[in-house]
Amino acid sequence: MMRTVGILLWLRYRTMFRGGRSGRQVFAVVMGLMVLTPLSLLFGAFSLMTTLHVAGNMGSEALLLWVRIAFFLVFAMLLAMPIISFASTDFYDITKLFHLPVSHRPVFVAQIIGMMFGGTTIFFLPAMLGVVIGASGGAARAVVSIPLLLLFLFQTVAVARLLQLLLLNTLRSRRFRDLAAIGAACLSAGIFVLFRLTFNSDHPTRNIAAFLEELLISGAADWIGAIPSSWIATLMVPGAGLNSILLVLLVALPLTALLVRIAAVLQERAFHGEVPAARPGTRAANAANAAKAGSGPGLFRFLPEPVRAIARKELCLIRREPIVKTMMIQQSVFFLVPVVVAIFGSGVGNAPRIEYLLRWGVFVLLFVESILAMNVFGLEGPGIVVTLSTPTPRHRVLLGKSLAYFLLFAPVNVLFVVTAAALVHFLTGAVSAISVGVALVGAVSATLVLLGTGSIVSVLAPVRMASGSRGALRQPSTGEGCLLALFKMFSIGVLAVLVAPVVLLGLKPILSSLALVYGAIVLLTGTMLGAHLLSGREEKVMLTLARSAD
Amino acid sequence: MSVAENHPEEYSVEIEGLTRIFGGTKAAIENLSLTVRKGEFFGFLGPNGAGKSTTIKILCGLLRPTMGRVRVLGLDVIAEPLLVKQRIGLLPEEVNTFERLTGRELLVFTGRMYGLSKLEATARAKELLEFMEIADVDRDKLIIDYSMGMKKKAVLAAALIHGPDVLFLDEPFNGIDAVTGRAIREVLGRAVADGVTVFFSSHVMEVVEKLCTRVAIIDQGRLRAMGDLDELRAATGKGPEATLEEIFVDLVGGDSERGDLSWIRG
Repeated sequence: MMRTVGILLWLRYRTMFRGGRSGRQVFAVVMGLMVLTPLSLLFGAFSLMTTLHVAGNMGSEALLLWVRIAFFLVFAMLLAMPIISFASTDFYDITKLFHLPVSHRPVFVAQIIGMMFGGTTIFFLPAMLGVVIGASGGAARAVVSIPLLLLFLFQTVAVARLLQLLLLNTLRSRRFRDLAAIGAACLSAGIFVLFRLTFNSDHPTRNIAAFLEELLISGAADWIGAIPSSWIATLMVPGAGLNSILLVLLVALPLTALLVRIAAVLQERAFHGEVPAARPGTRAANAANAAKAGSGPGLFRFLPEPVRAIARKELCLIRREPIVKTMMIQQSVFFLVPVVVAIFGSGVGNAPRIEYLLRWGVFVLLFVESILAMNVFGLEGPGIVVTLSTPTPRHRVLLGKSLAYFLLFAPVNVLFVVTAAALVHFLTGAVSAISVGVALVGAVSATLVLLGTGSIVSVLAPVRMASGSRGALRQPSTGEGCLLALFKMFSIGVLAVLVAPVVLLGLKPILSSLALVYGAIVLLTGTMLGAHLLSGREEKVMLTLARSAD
Repeated sequence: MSVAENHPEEYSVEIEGLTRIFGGTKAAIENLSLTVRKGEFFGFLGPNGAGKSTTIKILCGLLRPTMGRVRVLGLDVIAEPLLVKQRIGLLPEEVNTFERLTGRELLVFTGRMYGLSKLEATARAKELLEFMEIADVDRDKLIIDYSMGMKKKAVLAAALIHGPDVLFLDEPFNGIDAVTGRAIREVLGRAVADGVTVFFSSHVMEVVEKLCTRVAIIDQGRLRAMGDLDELRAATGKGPEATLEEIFVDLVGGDSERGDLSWIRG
């Protein structure tokens, strides 16, 4: 059995840095050593300093809350990462071992060891040690705390493995791979926002202290204490006596054993063929999907059928392509976090944070939308040959695509304006209905300008958009890619100039409706010019997009 | 008592009354019985959704039958799946392997999982990769970056590395070019010459007709006919010139009425 476990662990560590494709392993290892290792150690040092600061200046209640939050974050990451990285980690998919003469036991042992000492755990270990050592208040307690920390990690890994096995068929499906890309996007955006909120001043430790105080005032500390990850975390602070340690262990140990047993039984069942491999969708489901795909922008019936057909097809691509979902969801984090801060924070004191996030939100919104609008052929890939082999006039093709992206962007932009207005009104009480209306008209007009500009840029600089191994956008990395990036930057400059009249017209509410007219003119001009350019560049566009993504 | 029970040593595969029901109602295979002799090149044919892949998965211990008995090399697949897996090789229809290993690493890993020493597995991997003509591929190239044909060849090599007694191949010629197809045919021919039994499902009738000594045709989970080409012709009342494709279409009802698509002509 140990020989098999050894071979499987070899597989785990051999493929650990191979989330990407061939030739990128060295890059991944260098990234791991040069970026992740220092970052992990930095987190360790920061968590130690923060824990000591909280322990020394804020009292036992705040210290307990801080330890619980730290444990909860690691708990959440250790549960999320095996799920999100399932598709890009060969080791997790046990179905690849089913045909081999290996029993479920060594595989289960290897999985638990491999997850326990996997990248996520190793990355967070310094931070966990920083919290545990900082909170222990003495060497004797620190010695007791380390085995408790290991028990916590083991328990978390058991839960993560159990989740993986329960969701095995779902995790192996293509649809889940799309969802995982979205999950990864949410996680990375969430971490980025958290990082910016914590480290955007000279005193990040004070930011944490202020955050803890807010949580203690708002009463959120109570429900944090009820999360399972808080049980063992409670034992890490000096207030916990031997009795409470024994009491928690009395619950934690049998619970962990039970979780491991359930996971082992599930794995055994899977090995005995009682969990069939993921099957393709049924005919009924496919038919339902096809019917769904056929539904389209009904409000736009006045437009010619080819325009609506192109828009419908583009919306299908948008709906099914994880890149788009990923990008749109990443930007939504910048709306949601200010709302959460406003609801759970202590009120006006949070105004600078909310303002800061909203400014980032506008930037990310413009960035994401310009990437998509300036590459409207990008999602088609080789399908562009079919689109351009139809006799549809090219201005209609571009108009159809603009319609699809308008239907995607407009609700997002309107939502952003309304959210921002509500937040500013909540904090300052200085937002009127007229200013919200003007902002909405401005947002729609700016979207039209963006789509008009995008129609021209898309024809001049098409790029195939394809998912990388983790759902990231894959772009050319050659000299051509460099020129392309420069051209896109120049295009964004032009866009800023073209959007300026919308902003100027918006300053006088009475003129704001003219902004809509201006936006429509830019859209139509851009579409006609783009169509004219496309007629001379069809071959180049097709060659660029139909080229293999590899 | 079945024929197989009288002479169990003659048979590599024995299926008796096999039924597999999915979702409580849909029978993917229904009361299927057949035998495959040792060293035979056996073709397993059927239209899409006939139950070929399900049968192969059950034979390889990847799925449990709802009813019936399945033996491979005289071993009960349900009772002794590990012993069976130790002596068979599988090329599944959908390549589901460790894509973030290189071809060489996959073969060595698989060999070691079958109990070969690292040295032996490495030597066999080198030989197999050369035979499959993928030894010249960049050593650092991961399987995820292989073409479909190369992936199939790598997985077939992995299925052969431990020297199996029975080889199960599910649609090995799907999605591959003529050159790769020829390489796979050569490997299979070599394996059969060495006494390996090949249980082979395919849509490519010409290949089956050329390679297989005996053929079973299933439709909707039920066995429609089994035997060599002459026996199939006799069973369907076809003349000596009838091809396997004609027999197949006759048995599974491929000539049913379809719309005339008259609107195509405008």
